[in-house]
Amino acid sequence: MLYNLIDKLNYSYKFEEAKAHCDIPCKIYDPIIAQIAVLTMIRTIDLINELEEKDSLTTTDKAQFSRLVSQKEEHGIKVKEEVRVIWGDYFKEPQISAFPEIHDLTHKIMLGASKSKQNVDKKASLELLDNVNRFAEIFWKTKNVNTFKASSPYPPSLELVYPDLKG
Amino acid sequence: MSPEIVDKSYVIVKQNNKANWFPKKNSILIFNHEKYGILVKKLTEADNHGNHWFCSNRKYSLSKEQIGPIKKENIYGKVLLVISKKNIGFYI
Repeated sequence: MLYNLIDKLNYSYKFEEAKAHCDIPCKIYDPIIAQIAVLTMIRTIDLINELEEKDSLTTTDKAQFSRLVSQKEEHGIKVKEEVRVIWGDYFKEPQISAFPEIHDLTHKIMLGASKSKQNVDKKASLELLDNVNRFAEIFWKTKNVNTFKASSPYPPSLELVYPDLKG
Repeated sequence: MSPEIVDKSYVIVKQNNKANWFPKKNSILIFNHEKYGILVKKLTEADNHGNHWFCSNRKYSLSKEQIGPIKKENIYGKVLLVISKKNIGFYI
């Protein structure tokens, strides 16, 4: 009720606006988004390669091809964004001192994600997955959380690093 | 600045008009930033040089370094009341 009253006053008087420049609650960082995004890129590469094996493409195939390329691009951007935010916002002096490889690794992920976006290159995307998995492993180590590797229970069924949160 | 201040909230601010007013750590303040305009942030520290530092520790938000030091004269005041659609929060 009070909100509605002030809202109406604002309509007439136009109060000054202050911004907070933040979107979601504190300290939520998790490399799983980047890991899933790489898996998605690999999956799209597999599906693109399946299309290539066909003698000719139907209109539906062509639409599917366009969609797959678009999804690969989108998830490549997501990999870069998620890793960049964790590296830039979460990693601070104590974590960097403990894992000085993080800068080089992050740079490799940026280049690898670009390469995987630019090409339909399974080998490049698998290398990207290795690097993102290593990034995840380091991330969880900085939180003293043990990790384990397991194959994703969906295509492309590749190994991901998962946190052992029960430990 | 969720959860303290959700988007589209209204805030009632106690104006900074006393020379001997020193905002306390963890106060939510409104200040003018030369690059980002009027901001609402939580005060993390005030150093001996009269600089006030704000930090969010939030994904996708401005870092302490991005915000930089803020002088007291650029602080409008302290948030006392936050009125959102669902709640009213007091910060007195």
